Amino acid sequence: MGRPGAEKLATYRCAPHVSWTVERNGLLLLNAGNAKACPLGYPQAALWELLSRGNSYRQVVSKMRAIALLSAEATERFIADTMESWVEAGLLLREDRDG
Amino acid sequence: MAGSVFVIPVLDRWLVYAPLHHASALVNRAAVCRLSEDRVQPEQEDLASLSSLIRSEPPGVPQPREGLVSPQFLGLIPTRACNLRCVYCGFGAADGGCEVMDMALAVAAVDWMAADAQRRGRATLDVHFFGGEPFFARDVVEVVVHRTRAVAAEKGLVPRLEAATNGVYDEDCARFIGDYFEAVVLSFDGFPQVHDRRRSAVNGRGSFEAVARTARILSQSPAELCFRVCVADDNVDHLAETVSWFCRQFQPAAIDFETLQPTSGAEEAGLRPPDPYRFAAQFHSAGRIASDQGVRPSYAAALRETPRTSFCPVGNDTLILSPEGRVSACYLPKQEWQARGLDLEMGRFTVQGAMELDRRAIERVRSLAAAKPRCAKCFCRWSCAGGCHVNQSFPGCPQAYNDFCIQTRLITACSLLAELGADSLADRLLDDRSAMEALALRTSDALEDCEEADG
Amino acid sequence: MANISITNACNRDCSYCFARSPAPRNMTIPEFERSLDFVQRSGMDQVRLLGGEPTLHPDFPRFVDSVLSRGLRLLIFSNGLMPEPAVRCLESAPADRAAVLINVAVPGECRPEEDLGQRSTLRRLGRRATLGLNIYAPTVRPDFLLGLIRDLGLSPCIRLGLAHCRVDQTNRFLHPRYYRVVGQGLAGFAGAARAEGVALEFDCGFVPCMFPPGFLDTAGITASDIGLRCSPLLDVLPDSRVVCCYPLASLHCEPIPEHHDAAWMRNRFEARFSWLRPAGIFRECAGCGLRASGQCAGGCLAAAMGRLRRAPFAVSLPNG
Repeated sequence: MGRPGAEKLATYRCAPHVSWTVERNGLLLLNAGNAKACPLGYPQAALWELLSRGNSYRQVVSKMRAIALLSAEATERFIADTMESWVEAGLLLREDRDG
Repeated sequence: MAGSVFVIPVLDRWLVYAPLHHASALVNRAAVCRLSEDRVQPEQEDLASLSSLIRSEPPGVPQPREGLVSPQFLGLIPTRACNLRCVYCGFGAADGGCEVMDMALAVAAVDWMAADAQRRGRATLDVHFFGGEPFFARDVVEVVVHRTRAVAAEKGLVPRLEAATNGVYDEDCARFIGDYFEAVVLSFDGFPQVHDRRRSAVNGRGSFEAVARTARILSQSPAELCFRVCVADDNVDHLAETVSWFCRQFQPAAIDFETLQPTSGAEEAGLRPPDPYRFAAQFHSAGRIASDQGVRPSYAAALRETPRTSFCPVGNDTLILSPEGRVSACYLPKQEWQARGLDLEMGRFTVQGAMELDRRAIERVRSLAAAKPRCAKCFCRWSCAGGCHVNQSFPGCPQAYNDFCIQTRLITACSLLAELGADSLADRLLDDRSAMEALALRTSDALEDCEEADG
Repeated sequence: MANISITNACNRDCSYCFARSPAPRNMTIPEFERSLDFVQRSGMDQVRLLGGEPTLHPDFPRFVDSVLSRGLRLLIFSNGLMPEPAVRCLESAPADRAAVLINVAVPGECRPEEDLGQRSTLRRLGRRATLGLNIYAPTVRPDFLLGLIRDLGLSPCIRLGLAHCRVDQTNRFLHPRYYRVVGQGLAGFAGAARAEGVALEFDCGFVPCMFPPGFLDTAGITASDIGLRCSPLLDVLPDSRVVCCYPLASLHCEPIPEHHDAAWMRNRFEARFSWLRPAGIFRECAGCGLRASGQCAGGCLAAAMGRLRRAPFAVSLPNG
């Protein structure tokens, strides 16, 4: 049971069989687990790169705002939606916990 | 023909060089006389054909730019701060301040450049990073890289990212650069004892290990890797070994040699510019080693592919954005220009995306490309074009050829000789100080001024 | 085709070798016969023997006899530094069924006695010998091969190969960023070769975009001829394990199947590595028209793997 009033967090991890290459117009994600390739254009490619380089959530939000020219709220929504879609595609794993 | 055909003495031969006609030839004294006096007999077919060519209107004479500013690339200085304290630094790293460019400003600049490129029908979106050390402001660079790629994809442009860097950062940063950049100019002065003497970190420790690691990572990446070597009196005699080692260890695409610009820091460290004659000779032999290994040797002032009025950003409509949002034609700190009585600032860029350029400032900067009296009769005028406008061809600069001129003239001459298959003549020239001086110190190379060939 | 590597012993030390192995191993006679069974079961009529240096195998002449007695054709990949029994064996083998591809060293890259040894072998084998050259640096030029063919009466054909990286990148290899420079050089050389009646063959890993526009048309080669060469070769190693190809050897291997054939094995390797295929050797591969139209597979898989990135990242987001 979590601490009373604790923020609920979702931790997203890169799925173990996923690797990627940098392409001219984005990234190409390769999933050795299901032999699927997932091309990412912008701004999704930027999000994946920022995550993979160890940026914290706040840093990702700040940088994605600048890259995609979105408001703070729209950026957070974009990040949340995109990451959920990646979970569905098997590219990320998600675990929920109390902060 | 005036000002576009030159004759250069090389021992007992003469190089005839018409850069605007893309023509050169190696002739004897009698041939020079005939060319100069327009007395070539038709039966001397090769000479007649050369005479006819050099007397024809050149296909194009480079002119200073006119009209709207048309930058080839966007220059960004994310910060003037640096993690090194190189003894010869002319970029003011030690007192450059810690200001980091606002991300929004950087992104707006990229968007502006993309729109400009699209408007002009360019195929590429070129963004170049300078410093200080650009990756000292890694976050800004990261954002710019992704914004550049995003907006390029949107507009159907090919993104081209380049950086001049000191290479002192972790492997992750080096891999990022290798993944995303098309070209990297890495400052690397050679063997550890040379490199570390000149290029140490803020804490005084050498930077060789980090730079070598970065070089290895970049040499295995798609990015074109160019080493920039600063040549001073302490390493000029070891260029061949340095190049050989670079080629074996790292296989860069190119090695660019720059001679030391005297600074107070360099002087305190006991570093002096190399003797220009020694430098020319050593560059020539080191360059041969590099070429044999498939590595391109480069001395920027001697590049001759396209005649030009300026080889540096100044006069080429370059727009370089400082961390504070000022737009200038040069990536050197303002105090460097000001010390030469120059104002290379052209305006400012706002975070709202407005490029506010002062028309008079643009014309003033463009006119610098034309005003080089020292270069008027030099055969390098359309390649070197006077070199750096701050360090070499500033208004009021001495009219006599300096060390930079001497080495440039010798290196360019040897490059012409190599193209003509006269490598052994180049070797003999570089072995003969008086012949080198006769070439390098000649005040006019213009064919119409050639008196020594008479008789 | 299937390549059978009968030994990893070698008498040279080429910096670009991707077949190096720390454990010395010669294929046994039963293992070799089983490999030949596999080749015949697969409907192939040619056996390619590799190494190390295959002629150093103590049973090399016996292996040659075994191949020929089964009615199969034979191609030996050698460095030309052969023991005398091996040379005699090849000299006496029927010329229409036994050929040798000699990968020659670039001038200046081998010791004088090695150069003499190669020339001696080439002279003796004559038209049985085809020259091969592995391009491991942008400065490697094949021009000297024309003189060798002319002077020694060799087969008028040159097989060009690119030195590929092992997945662990422990060998010297030609980085893809040099491919266009190399392609430019080869396009120039092709003219000289054509003038002397020498045909050029390209090994796997070459890509159509590395050549200047018009070259493939002039050379009578289609884009897919060049671009689709990267596929499971099937290399049978000295210990009888089968790998997709040498550069990918460390990633996966299988035993020689008792009952299945090469097509079955290729499908297994294709399936195994299919997830890698979308990556190419260049950043531009993903958007390339030749790729999209199926005329190019994106170059060497092992080289493409050099561009792969992995990072076990994790990030926590506020949930809801």
